[in-house]
Amino acid sequence: MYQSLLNRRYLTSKIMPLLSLVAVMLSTGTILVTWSVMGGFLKTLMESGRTLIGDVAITWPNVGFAHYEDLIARLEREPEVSAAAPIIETFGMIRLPDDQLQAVSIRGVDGVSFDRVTGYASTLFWRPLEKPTPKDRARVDLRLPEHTDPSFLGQVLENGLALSRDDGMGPEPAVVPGIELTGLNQRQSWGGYTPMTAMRPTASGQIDVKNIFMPRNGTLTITLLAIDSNGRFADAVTRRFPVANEFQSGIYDADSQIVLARLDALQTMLNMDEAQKTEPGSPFETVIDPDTGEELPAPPRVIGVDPARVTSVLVRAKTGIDSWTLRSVCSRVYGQFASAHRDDVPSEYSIDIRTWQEKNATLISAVEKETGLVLFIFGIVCFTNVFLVLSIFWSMVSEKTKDVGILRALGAGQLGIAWLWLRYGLLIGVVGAVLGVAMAYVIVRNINPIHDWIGQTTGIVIWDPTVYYFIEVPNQMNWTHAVLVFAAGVLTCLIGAAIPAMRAARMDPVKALRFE
Amino acid sequence: MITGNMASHAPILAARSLHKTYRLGKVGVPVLRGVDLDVAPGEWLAILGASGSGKSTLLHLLGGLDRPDTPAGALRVCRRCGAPRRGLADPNSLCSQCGAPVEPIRAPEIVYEGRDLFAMSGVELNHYRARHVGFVFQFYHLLPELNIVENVTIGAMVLHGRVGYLRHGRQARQRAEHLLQAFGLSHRLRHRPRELSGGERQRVAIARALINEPHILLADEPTGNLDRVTGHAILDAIEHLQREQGLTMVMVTHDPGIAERAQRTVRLVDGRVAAHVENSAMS
Ligand SMILES: Nc1ncnc2c1ncn2[C@@H]1O[C@H](COP(=O)(O)OP(=O)(O)O)[C@@H](O)[C@H]1O
Ligand SMILES: [Mg+2]
Repeated sequence: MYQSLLNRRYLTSKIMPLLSLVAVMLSTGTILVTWSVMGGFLKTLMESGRTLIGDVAITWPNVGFAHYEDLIARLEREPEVSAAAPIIETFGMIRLPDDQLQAVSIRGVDGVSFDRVTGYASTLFWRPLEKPTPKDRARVDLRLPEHTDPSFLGQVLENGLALSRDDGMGPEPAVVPGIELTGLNQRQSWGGYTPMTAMRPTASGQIDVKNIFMPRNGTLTITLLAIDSNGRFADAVTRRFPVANEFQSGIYDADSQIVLARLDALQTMLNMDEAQKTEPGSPFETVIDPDTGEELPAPPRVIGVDPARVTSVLVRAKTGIDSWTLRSVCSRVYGQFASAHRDDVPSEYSIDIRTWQEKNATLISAVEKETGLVLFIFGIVCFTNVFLVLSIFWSMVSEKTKDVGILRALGAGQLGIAWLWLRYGLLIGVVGAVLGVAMAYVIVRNINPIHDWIGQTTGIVIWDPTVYYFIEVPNQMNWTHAVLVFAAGVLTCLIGAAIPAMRAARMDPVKALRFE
Repeated sequence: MITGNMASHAPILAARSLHKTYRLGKVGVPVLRGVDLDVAPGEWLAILGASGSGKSTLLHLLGGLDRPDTPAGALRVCRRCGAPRRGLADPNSLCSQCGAPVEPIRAPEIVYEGRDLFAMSGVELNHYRARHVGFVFQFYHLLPELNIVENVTIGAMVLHGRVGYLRHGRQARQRAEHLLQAFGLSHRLRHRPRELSGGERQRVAIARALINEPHILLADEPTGNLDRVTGHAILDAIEHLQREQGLTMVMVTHDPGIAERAQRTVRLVDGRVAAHVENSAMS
């Protein structure tokens, strides 16, 4: 009883406890901010990993595998599977409107099914802003109705989803590059983009300025290596594609290196489309050309149809199904599929079926290591905190020696005195940790504006998107982490207060009373 | 009201063979060398002694704050000259330094209402301090962070604990305000001790000592830090309490003028209670 009264009075009339309070607040706050950003980084990474590749990928690289539509149909019959989509993954070169050449990763997708598996539609950047907030208006976002015709943007969004563009001569297969890929979009501090003009140096030393808005009149020229039916790289093929839209996944690597192209167009370029299966004619057979009457070697004989192929099928799990469960479902389904198409598709033993965690394993383990490092530093900070609280409490107990003597004279026991100081430590710990968590919450929620502000005033960019993979600093607070940091903050205070509390309890009351 | 003959009453507090030796480096400094003292219920006893004669030490012992030397744990020093002594107390041995016969140490005893303090557990001793005795110190010893009422009620908080204070808190606050009013401090209830004069602070300290209605007030030079007029005003208040409520009072002082106000005075000389003086003037 007297403990709570004295704790309250000590707390409000002395500077020392406020110092320890601030120390606890700062240490819990900084730890929580760091941990939240690191944890958010890992979480965003995981979610974005799914955005691009779904939960599980069934892959037979380069040459690809056939009958994928049957595989998808089989997969989608499973209760654990939400959707599956075909995809071709390959590499190539693109030429930008300013004649720059760039090596890129090219993915052939079917917009609708790709969206069902990866949420692709929501990553399309150019779209009408239907209900702009006042904040959007303050940002001068070009997607606002007052800047760009919303019906045009609506068409662009549709184009992006269908991966096609109609330039007046009927819809044509189109590509959707990542928003950072062309270098023609300037990132704004609020996270959006504004297109820039493309400038091309000419041979005469002039600069040719082209006014291009990619989804309206921009094109990309893609060059890639076709594969023959035996899986060997054959000739390079080049084709010009209109740009339908641009996507922003939030992962810098993806946004700057991936071009999505329409699946059928890519299949044609790569010789992975449906084709007649032929056999070379017998060298002794000949045919007579009806026009000229010449005798020619017999042409190859058509012996069947070579079905279209893709390199991967991406699968998305239903909510609540983890990717490892899904992977075993995929293996089972693939086994059935492989036996149905024996000798036409890779066997279930050689096919590559991996979860997105496995695909991103190096990166995930790197981030987990980094989180481990944060926790290690966390431990050290806690340790330091213990000593900080200990020294502050030690001097407070010394200063309050006389009070201890007085209380003992009034009948207080040793346990009561110990509890007086322990409770005080607890109070400082709880108040300090609550303030620390509150501080961390405010900082984490506003970390992007704070980060931008630091960048603008000091020129230091801490979160460089080219280094850190993501464009935005994660700004979610993990409440499990918050509870752990809170508990650790309180615990360090208790531990730090324990020794001074013991000392106060064991003081000789007479000496304490005579203390000057 | 109180008769001159105290011997007929069983003492409320009786001390026997109290020894206390402080250690100063290697040398033992004997302060109390076998104090025997009886305090009758309801009497006002003054213990008169020079500065440094061990008055405070004695009072702390009586209040259960301190422990006397025990035969087994006693410092082995000559009680007369302080020279280190060899072996356990042998009744026939002599001090090697001064040749005095080494006194055997009897077990010390403080008996309060028939109960030996040194047989009490720590919890019982805390209860004894909280409930049965009240301390008043020369330098007031108020808690600087608490206001006046809180400084008084804290005694009740210590006694009752959190749960008990829920039941007794109201009553304790009323009693505190009543006591402070009786001491003329009702307009100062929310003030901090540092805003009060010495005399006012000492009255707060007395109110605190009385909050749990103790049987004995142990006052250590309660007027030692006050001027004469204020000091006597404090003594008037104490005397009033003692007469009205039958409070037993043990007051130590070095000032014969103050001791005179008590009903009975004993002297503390050479670590022993030397002489009994009846202050007949008071009865
Ligand atoms: N903790 C201690 N250590 C050593 N000597 C002490 C200690 N406490 C008191 N003394 C000594 O004991 C003697 C008696 O002290 P005290 O009881 O305060 O005397 P009084 O109250 O009569 O002035 C003094 O000489 C004092 O210096
Ligand atoms: Mg003294």
